[in-house]
Amino acid sequence: MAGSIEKIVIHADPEIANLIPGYLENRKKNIASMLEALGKGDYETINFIGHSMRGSGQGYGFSAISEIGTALEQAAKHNNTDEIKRRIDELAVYIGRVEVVYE
Amino acid sequence: MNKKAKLKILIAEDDKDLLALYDKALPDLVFDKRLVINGEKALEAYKTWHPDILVLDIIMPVMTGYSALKEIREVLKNGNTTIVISTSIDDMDEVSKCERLGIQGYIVKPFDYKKIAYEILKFFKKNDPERADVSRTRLEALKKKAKV
Repeated sequence: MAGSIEKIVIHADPEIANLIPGYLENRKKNIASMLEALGKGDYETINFIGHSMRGSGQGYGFSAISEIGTALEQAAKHNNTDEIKRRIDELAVYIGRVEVVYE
Repeated sequence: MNKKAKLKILIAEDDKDLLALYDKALPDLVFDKRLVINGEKALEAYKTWHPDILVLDIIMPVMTGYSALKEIREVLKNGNTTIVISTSIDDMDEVSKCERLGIQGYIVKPFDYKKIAYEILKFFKKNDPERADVSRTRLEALKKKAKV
């Protein structure tokens, strides 16, 4: 349908259902923090957040978040502003589209 | 030592989302947990609480896992604590440094939270096979009960 946003469905374990909304909310906060850091040229903060996302994403069932985190970490190490912006956008789109099904 | 006592586990990890996952993965009926967010707090808790198991993230603010481990090994050489490092796949140089200081194993992040308790017990078994087996049996019983 025109104008509709295709959802990315992730199947997650009901055992961690109570943790997942908070986890995704924290990634939204990461987006804001990284944009602020980027504005200041603070690549260390972006590196740190990327590293953290890499370590946690897959554990929660979001392998895409681990992949984006890895890319952000690498881009931050090389002060690659364009790549950082692209990956932050990718994260924002992902968070907007992801739909978690508990089963 | 009561072989059926819960295992005292101290986890130092700066990522609060991962701490929450550890908390979920390590049931209270098997583990007596303390969760801290940096190496300095890990060191403080280690000295006063004497955990059976210490899980240390390598990269943390304030005091890294490596620095905490170094201090633990210098100050408390004869401790019986099982020490497990948690790391990313590309931190293997850091793991090697920690291995030289004396650790029982390492966990690679991201980890599968359903398997992490078993993985930790596998390392603990090197120090205390009997208690590790008791804890594993208890863990499996809990999982079976949860499925019913």
